[in-house]
Amino acid sequence: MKNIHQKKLSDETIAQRIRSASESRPPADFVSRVMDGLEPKKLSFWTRVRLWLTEPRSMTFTPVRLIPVVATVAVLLVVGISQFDMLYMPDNGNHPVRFVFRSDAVPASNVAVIGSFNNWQATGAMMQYDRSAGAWVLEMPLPPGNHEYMFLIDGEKFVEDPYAPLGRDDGFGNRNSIIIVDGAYEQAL
Amino acid sequence: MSRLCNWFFPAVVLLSVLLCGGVATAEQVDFEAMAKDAEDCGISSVSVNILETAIHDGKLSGDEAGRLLGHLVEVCSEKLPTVPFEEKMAEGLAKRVAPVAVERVLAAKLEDYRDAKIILTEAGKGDDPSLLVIAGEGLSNGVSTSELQAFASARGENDEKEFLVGMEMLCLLRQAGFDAALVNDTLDTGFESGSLSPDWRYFIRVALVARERGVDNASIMKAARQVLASGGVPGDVSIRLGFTSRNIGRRVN
Repeated sequence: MKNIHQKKLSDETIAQRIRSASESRPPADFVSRVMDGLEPKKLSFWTRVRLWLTEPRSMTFTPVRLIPVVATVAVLLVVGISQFDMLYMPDNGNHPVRFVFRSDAVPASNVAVIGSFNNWQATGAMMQYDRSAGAWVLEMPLPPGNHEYMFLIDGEKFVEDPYAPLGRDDGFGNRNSIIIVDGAYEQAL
Repeated sequence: MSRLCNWFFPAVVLLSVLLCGGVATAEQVDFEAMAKDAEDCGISSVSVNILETAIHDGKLSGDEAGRLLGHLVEVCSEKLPTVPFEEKMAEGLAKRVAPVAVERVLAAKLEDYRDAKIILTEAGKGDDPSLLVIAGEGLSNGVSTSELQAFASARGENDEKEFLVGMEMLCLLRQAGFDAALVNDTLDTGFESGSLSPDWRYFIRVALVARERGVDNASIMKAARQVLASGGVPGDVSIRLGFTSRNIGRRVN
């Protein structure tokens, strides 16, 4: 009991002494010594990326410095648009033509378009089945003029395009379909 | 006897193999020589490759390939355009047509091109390969010699470009079954008005789509005559026929 009381007194005395102690400033290098003593926390790569992306930043610029940036972006846009045009517009006078084969009447597991434009070879002329349209479809660039073609079903059966407005006897007992591709002038109907 | 059989039959088999191999090699050598001559003449290496591949795959013998190549060389040596013949040969082989049948078609086509050249030469237009192809293909696909001859002699004096456009229109419209009188009337209007611009090479598209949509041939050609008389282009024919503007460049069935 006595011991406990003595300890209690002792604690109070200590607390009082601390309270009454004169305040002194920590040494100048106290913070840096403490921080140096801490093991640095390693952030993962993704955390650093997330922090970099999510941390708010402020940018300062002057209109004069902005001019080259705007000019560069404009040039890139113009070049990009012209490249896009080259991809989707006629190349070397060729025009994109869409072949469609509906397989309602002729079941098929693969279909190719063969014609005068590809030496009647199926290589590179396989059609893709479009489920939503229920048809085999292939788009390819063709030069202006008249082109004869047929559908090659499963690598064996030659089928005329039933929707082609013009056909021609091939001299071998079949009938080729004909597609007429316009010149630079796109007709409309 | 049994000993004789033991060496006799293998010997016969070996001899046969050697003989066949020798013949095949000889054919191959002949074809290679022909192929070089053909390429020197102007036959494309693509056609030669097609034949070589067919020999390699066993689809053609060297002799058959040589005969097919011979047809192309004949076309070339007569200074006729070879591309339509090369395409026809490739088509026949791709469709697995018997080589003899392909030869027959090539020979018939050559006759048509010879006739076309005579007709064009008489009209003073024999040197233009584009015209030769249009006329030759026209004859190959059912346009009569007399019809082509009549057109060439009547329009031989006209401008080269107009002549080409007119001949292509004649050949394609006739192949599509348009009446000869209707076609000739339309062409006459075009020549007289001087409005047969290159755009009219593709008039057949407008005509075929209009017909597909139920317009009769006479109405289509009447509209074409009216447009030609006013110096218009094929797109104006569709407007005159009452169609709304719609791209027919991409086919959607």
